[in-house]
Amino acid sequence: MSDPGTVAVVLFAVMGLLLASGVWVAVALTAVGFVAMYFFSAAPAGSLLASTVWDASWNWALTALPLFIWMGEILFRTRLSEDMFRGLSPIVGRLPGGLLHVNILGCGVMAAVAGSSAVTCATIGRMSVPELTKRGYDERLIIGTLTGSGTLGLLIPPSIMLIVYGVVAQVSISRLFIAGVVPGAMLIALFMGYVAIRAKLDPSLAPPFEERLSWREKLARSRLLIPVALLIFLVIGSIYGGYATPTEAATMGVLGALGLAAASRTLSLTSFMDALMAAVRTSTMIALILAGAAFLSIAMGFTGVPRVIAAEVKAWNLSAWELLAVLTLLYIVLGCFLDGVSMMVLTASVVLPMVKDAGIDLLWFGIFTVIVVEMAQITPPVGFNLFVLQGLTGRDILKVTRASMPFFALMLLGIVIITVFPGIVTAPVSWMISR
Amino acid sequence: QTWIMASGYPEDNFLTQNIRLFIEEVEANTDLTIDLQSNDTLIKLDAIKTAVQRGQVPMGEIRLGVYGNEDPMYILAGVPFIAPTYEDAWRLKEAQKPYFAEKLEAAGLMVLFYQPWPGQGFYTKTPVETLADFEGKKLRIYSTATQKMGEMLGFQATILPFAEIPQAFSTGLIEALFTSPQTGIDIQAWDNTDYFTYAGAIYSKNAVIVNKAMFDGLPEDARTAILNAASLAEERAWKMSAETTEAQIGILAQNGMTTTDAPEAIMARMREIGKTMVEDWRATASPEAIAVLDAYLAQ
Amino acid sequence: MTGTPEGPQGFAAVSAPVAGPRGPLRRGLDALYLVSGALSGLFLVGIAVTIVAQVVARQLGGTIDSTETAGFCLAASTFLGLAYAFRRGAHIRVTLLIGRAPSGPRRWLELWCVAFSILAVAYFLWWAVDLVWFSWAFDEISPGLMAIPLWIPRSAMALGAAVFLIALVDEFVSILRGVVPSYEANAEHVLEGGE
Ligand code: NA
Ligand code: NA
Repeated sequence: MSDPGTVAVVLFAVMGLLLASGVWVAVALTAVGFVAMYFFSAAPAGSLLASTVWDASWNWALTALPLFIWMGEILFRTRLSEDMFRGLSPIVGRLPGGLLHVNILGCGVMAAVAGSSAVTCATIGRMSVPELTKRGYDERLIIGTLTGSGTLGLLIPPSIMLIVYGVVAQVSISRLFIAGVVPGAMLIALFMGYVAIRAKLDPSLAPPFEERLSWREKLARSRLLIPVALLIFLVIGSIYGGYATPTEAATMGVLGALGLAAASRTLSLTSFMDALMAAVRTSTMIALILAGAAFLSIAMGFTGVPRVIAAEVKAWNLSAWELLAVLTLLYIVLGCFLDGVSMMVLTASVVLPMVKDAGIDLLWFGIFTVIVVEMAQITPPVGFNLFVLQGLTGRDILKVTRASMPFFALMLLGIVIITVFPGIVTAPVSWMISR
Repeated sequence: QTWIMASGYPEDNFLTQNIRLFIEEVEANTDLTIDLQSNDTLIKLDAIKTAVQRGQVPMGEIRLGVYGNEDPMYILAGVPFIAPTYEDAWRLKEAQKPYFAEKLEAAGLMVLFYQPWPGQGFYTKTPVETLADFEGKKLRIYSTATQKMGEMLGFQATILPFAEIPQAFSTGLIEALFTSPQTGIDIQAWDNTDYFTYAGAIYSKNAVIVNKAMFDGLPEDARTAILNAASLAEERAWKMSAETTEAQIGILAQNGMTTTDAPEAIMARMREIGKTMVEDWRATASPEAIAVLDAYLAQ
Repeated sequence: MTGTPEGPQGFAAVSAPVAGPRGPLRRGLDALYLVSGALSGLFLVGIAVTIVAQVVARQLGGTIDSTETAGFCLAASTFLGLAYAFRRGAHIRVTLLIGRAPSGPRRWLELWCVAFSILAVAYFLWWAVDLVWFSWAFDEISPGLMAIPLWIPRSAMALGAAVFLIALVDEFVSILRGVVPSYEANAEHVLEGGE
C-alpha cells in the first residue's frame, strides 16, 4: 500500500479540482472513489463500483427519503405552511428573531419523525424558505437555522445514525434513542438562544413583529395549527402506536399530506403531478450523491487510509480529554469528505477500543459521535445539508456554508457541554431504565 | 501478500473470534497476511458471496441460510429438529459438503470451513409455559421458513428488517423474536424482553469461503497450511458454538432475563412442525438435494 | 429543488423548451427523457404503494414483504430519474468559479464538466450492464419472501444510466453548437436574485 499521506493528498487534490471546475458533486465523489480504488488498492474498481452503488441505492432505510421529500412537496402546494406560520407567529413571534424560531422548532419536530438530516432539512426548508424570505428575514439566518437544525434528525430519535452506531459499538439502540433526546433539546435551546441574541443585537435581521392580538384572536390563530398537529400525530402516532416502523411512517406522512391537500381543496391532478415530479428531481439528486459517497467510502476503506490515521492517533497514548479533543478534530477533518455512516463504520474498529480503554462510556460516546457527524453534515465539500439548501435556494455552496458556520460552532459548544456534564446524556437513560 | 477478508459480525461474536484464531494460524504458517474487516465494515454480509466470487475480496464469511431462494439446500439446516444436536449438525454438514462444494465451485468459490450457529430460542415479554402463550403474539420473521414456523406455532408473523427490531419492540409492533442467544446479545434483547426460552432445535451454518482461482494461485505449501488450519477451525467452531451457548444464556440471565428451556409441549409441537417442513422442503428441492437428505437420514 | 407553483405544470414540466431547431431527433430525445422521468415518478409512487400494502397486511394479520420491493422501486426511481433531473438542473455542483467565468471560458468549462461526466457515466454503465449480466448468468435471487431475480431490478439501474448517458451526449453536442445548457436554462430555485 502507498503512503497514506500521499494517498490523502492526491485524493484531496483530485476532489478539489473536479469540484472547483464545476463537475457535479455525485460524479466527482464517484470519480475520486475510482482514483482511490484503481490506483491505491488491489481491488477491481469496476465491479465494486457497480455493486456498491447498487447496494447503496436499494437500502430499505433510504426509502423514507423520497417519501418525506414528496410529503414536503405536497404540503408546499397546500396552505399548510402559510397556516403554520400564521398559527406559530403569535407564539414565537414576540421572541427576538421571530419566525426564525419556526425553522428550529419545525426541524426539531420533523426530527422526531424522520431518521435523517437531509430529509428534516428538505421538508421544513421547502415550506419555510419562501415564507420567511417573503417576510423579509435575513437570508443567512434562514439558511443557517435550516442546515443547523436539520442535523437534529440524526440526534433526536428515530435516527438512522444511532442505529448504525448501536450495531457497530454493541450499545443498546433503545438506550441510545433515549440518550439522544435531551442533548437534542439542548441544541435546540442553543440555536434559539443564538438567533435571539443575534436579532437583539441587530434588529434588521428579523422584521419587527407588529401584530397585537387579544387572547381570543390568539386562540383562533392557534386553530390554524390543527392540520400540522394532525399530521405530526399521524406520523408519530403510527410509530408509537405500533402500526408502522419509522421508515414506513414516511408513507403515512405522504397519505396524511394528500389528505390535507384534499381537505384544503388544493389537490388536483396538476398539483399532484407537480409535487411528484419535484420530489423526483430532489430525491434523485440526493440519492445519487449518497451512492457516490458510499462508493468513495468503500474505496477509502480498501486503501486503508482511515484505519492508518486512527491507528496513528492510538499510538500517541492520550488521556481521555486529549483523546476526545483529537477525535473531535479527526472527525471534523474526515467529516469534510465522508458521509457520517462511513466515518463511523470505517474508524470504529480502531477508535472504539481506544475509547473503551480510556474509560469513556460507549453510550455517551455514541451521542458525542452523532453530534460530530451532525457537524460533518454542514462542512464542505461533502455536506448533505449544504447540498439540500443549495438545491433549494440556488445559492452557491460556499454561501450556504458561511451561513451554517455559526451553527457548526454551536454544536462544538454542545460537545463541550456534554463533555463537562456527561449526565445530560446518561442521567435520562438510567432514570428511564431503572424505572 | 495481503488478503482482505470480509465478515458481517462484531468482534465479540464467537464466529469472528474463531476466524481470528484461524487467521493467526494461517499467518504463522504461510507468508500470507489476512486483513479481516469484520462487522460489515467493508462489504455488507449479504453481498460477501458475490464479492468473493468476483474477486473483490479473496475471502469472506457468508450466512448460508440467505441463499434459500437460490437452492433449498441452503435452508435445510434451518428446519426445526432436522439435526437437533451438535453431533447431528456435524453429520448433516458432512452429508451436505459435496453438494455445496459442487454448487459453489460452479461459481468459482471454495468453502474453507463451516461454523454452526448455536441453537435458537424465543425472546418474549411474558413467560412461556404452553403453546397458548404464543397465540396471536406478533413474531418478527424474515424468511419463508421463519414465517411458516411462526404461523404453525400460533404466532402472528410480522415481517421486519433487522435494523428496526429495537424500535419495533418498544412500540409494540413486534412482541417476540426467535433467534440465537448471540443475536440477542448483539441487539441487547434485555431492554425489550424479559424471557428467553431456549429451544435449540436449529443449528444453521455459516461458511468461510475463498475465491477458488486466487486460492489456486497460492504456492502448494500455503494451500496445505490453509486447509489444515481450516479443518482445525471447523472442529473448533463446533466446540466454541456449544460452549458459548451456555455462556451466552448466562449473559442474558445476568442482564436480568429469565432464561428457561422450552417446555415439552412446545418442543413436541416444533418436532411436528419440523416434519411438515421437511415434507414441504422435499417438494421444492432437486432430486440430488433430496438424495443428500435421504443419505443423512439413513445413517 | 424546482417546480414552484408559477413554474411549468405537471407533465408539461418534464420537457421544458430547449433552444434550437426542433427536428424529429430533438423531439425523440425529449420524449425519451419525459418517459424516463415519468417512470421514475411511477416508481416513487410504487415505494409508497408497496409500503402501504405491508402496513395494511400486517394489521389484517397477513404478510406482504415490502422490504425488498420498496428498495427496488427506490433504485429504479433514482436511476430512471437521473436524465430528467439533469435536464432540469436539479443535480448540484459548486458554481463559484463557473458562475463567474466570462462566456467564452465558461463554454469550455461546461464542455469539460459534461465530457468528464460522459466518461464517468459510460464507465459506470459498462459495469452496471456487467452486473445485470452477472446476476442473470449466476441466477442471483433476492433473499426475502418475494424471491425476485436480481437482474430485473438491476436492469433499471443500467437503463437509467443509459438514458443519463444519452442526455449527457445530447448536452455536449448542444453546448458545442452554442446553445445554453438545459440544466442552466431550466433550473428553478425558491430564492430569486443574483449570487
Ligand atoms: Na430523528
Ligand atoms: Na462534511
